[in-house]
Amino acid sequence: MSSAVESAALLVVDEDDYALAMLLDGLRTAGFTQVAGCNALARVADHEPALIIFNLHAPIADAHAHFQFIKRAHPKVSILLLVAPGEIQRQVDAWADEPALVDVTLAKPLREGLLSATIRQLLAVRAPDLLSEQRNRNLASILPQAAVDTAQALDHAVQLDERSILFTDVRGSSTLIERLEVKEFFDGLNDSLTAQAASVRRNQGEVIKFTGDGMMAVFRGMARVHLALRCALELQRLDATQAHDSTRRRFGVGIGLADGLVLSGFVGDSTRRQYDVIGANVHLAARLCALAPAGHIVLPQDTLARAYLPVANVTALGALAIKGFSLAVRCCAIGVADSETSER
Amino acid sequence: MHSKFDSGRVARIIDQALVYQCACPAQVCSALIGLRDLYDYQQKCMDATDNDRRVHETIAAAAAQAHALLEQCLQDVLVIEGWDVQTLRMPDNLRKKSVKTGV
Repeated sequence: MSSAVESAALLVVDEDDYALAMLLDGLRTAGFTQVAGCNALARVADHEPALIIFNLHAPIADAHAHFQFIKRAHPKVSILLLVAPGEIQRQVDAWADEPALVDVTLAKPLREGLLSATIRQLLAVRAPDLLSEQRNRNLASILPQAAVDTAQALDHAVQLDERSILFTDVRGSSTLIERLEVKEFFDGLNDSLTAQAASVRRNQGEVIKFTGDGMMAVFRGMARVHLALRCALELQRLDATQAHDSTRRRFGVGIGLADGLVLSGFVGDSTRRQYDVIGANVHLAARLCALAPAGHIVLPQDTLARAYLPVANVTALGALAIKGFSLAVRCCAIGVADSETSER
Repeated sequence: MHSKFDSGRVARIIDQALVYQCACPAQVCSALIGLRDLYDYQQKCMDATDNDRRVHETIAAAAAQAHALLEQCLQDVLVIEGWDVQTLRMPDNLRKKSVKTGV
């Protein structure tokens, strides 16, 4: 429990740089490991802390409204105020009728150890929640959020939903492996996958798995096709930038995109399962990825039409016979303006 | 009650003393605020009888005397510690001391 308390995210808000540095230093010395700071009340929205410590130096005209907003937006956040006796304390005391607004007020000057002891007391009450949140964060760093959600539901049910599926794959990886030192290859590949995963997250998708030298990502919701194609175009631009950067090894990727019903859930035996998304549309996206040269996106024509995104350099590929599909699929390729960036 | 240090200046001194070890002037300031509250309370308290009035006057006079004594003490302490009396900024040597202590 104590580790959950000490690794809870704390945010110190202090407009005075020196006092802020001193508080951050003191809290870290006291054993808190996740301590961040900012100068303005308005910057609180940039963080997701378990506890906010406000060091108030003077009465603030809109402090009450800010605290109300924070509590409404983040009901689980605890608020601790440090105030000097006098006018500012009287201002804060006037909020006593709203016990949910501020959790604890400490009057300065503080007795040594009082602040950290108070923080520990406040967080200890929430230790089970904090532990659970910490486990979720740890799981989310190695699993897609959908997998965490499904695992927590405990029924391990398989879900049938509409998703946009995006596959990437490094082109010419065999040549790269031969040409580069092993470490250089792995570093370059991981840089490329890191940039790809960041783009997926920016576009509200989630990486389901890394597939050796590529990845599979899915996008949910009404705007999924739009977001998936936006992500694919971002990856294409990334690829084009890399192609012109002579200082880096190019890990050019081909991209395949499809949309439709998929099955998601845990697959495997009773000793080891993994979360996956499967189905005909997943196969389609993978097959289209295999057709895409580096820097190109290949997708069904009707998927492009549903993306509502203006796209240049589109080439119709006609009705393609895709392995495993009885009917041909009308597809198109989105290329890049500079033909030099493309290689198969 | 006459004050050499208004509420804003008292709050500023307290504000710079986050931990007890470096907060001697801040402790004096806290006592000053307590005396001001006590004085104000006596001023506002009801004088239902002549005896009430004498009680309130006695307490208010003592509070004012103690307040004057502690304000002089604060002024002297700030000089001894080397505070800038215009800006009321805590001297750097005391600030460094506070960083080394825990919170």
